[in-house]
Amino acid sequence: MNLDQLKQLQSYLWTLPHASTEQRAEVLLYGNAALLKSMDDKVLEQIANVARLPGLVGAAMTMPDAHWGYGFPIGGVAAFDAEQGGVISAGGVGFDISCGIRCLRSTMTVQDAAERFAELADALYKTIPAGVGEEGHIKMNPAQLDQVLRGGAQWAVKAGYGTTADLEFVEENGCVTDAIPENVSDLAKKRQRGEMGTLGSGNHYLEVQFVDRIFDQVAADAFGLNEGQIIISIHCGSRGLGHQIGTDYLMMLAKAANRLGIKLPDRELACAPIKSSEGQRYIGAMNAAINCALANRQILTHLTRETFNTVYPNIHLDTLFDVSHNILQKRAPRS
Amino acid sequence: MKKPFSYFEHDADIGIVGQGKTVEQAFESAARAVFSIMTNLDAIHARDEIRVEFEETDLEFALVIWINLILGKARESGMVFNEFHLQRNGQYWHAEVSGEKWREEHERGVEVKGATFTMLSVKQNPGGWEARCVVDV
Repeated sequence: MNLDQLKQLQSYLWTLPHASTEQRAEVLLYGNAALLKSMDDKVLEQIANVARLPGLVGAAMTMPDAHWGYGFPIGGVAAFDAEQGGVISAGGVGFDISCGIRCLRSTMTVQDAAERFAELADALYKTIPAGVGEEGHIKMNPAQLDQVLRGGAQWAVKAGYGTTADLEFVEENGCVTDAIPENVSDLAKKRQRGEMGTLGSGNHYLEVQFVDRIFDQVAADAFGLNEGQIIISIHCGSRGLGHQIGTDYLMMLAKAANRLGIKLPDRELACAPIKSSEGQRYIGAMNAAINCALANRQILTHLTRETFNTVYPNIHLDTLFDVSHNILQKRAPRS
Repeated sequence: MKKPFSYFEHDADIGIVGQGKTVEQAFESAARAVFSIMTNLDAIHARDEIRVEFEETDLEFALVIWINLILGKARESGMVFNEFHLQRNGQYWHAEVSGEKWREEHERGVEVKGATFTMLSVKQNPGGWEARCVVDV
């Protein structure tokens, strides 16, 4: 990205000045000069397009990890006011709805664990299927899947995957309300029947990591982290169900935008007003996918614990956090 | 003879291009491009057939629907497809797709999650039809 077109506001905050005839909201980009220089020009084009959408509140923003996405840049953030004609976009949420990170904190150090890493890797590979064409060991019937879509990680804990202590450190305590499984297509549900407890492929992973260096001791103490400590990061989302909802509603919203005469700077920004029937249907389905992802990461946490305990008896893995990054959340405006 | 397909560069995902004498053949080629990302199609036996159908007037939307529908059907059935026969009658599209269930010995490439609107185009060139889009991997 060429920084000449930007104006620096603070050390890590930049804006894209308006052209004289340009009708759009403010664009803010977070990051240092080196990060922004390394970004694709498409990021700037896409976030400027987001700033033209109806009902945007404040600025359209990009985070330091922004890159070329589907209509919205990945790492893009925007708020829309339902009362001001604000819109909802499937591309803004992303195809892998509620993709996120579950981080587990162990009670052992890399020195304690290193000798049995190969054994651990083999055991994890057997317990947690990953990659194209792989199915999980858990099979869901339609009624069970609907319970997952309503109950999220809370359903998983009740079913014996993990403990209630995990839920304290998961967004929304592991379950979003207003999920409507009836808004999810049969194909989406069928795709998920064999996918609970699986990681998927692409950039999804389960990594055994360790704390290499501490930069902020106060924050590290608050998180209960020490140098050398083993932590586990699980990156995955709502699997086949979420992808199918994303694609089903991308098409529905594209047609709604045409029907409602919403002028889109880019067809990928396919969107409908939050208050429209299409917008409301999408929100119900998207919340169901969020619960699916939260349940899946809870199941993966449980499987990870079981596997670790076969290799390292008596060690504990506590949930440090679970945060989604492909998500739409309803928030009251700040007074 | 198999219809030709190719790929184009994209930052994080993969662009696919299907070509053919007709729009249906270009879509079949695009489907082969998608499933070739996941495995070596020459090693797949077309043992089982699945029928799919959809309705769409817009050719570009139809490409996205087609790719996403067969990806969904493949995942639902635990299969990988290597043969595609698509027919169109106005807005009505019907296809028979064939392949087999994933087996241990199949080469595992990269899972394709879905077709997107990125770089989406379906056009007729002097030499035939070309269908392209970026697929999310």
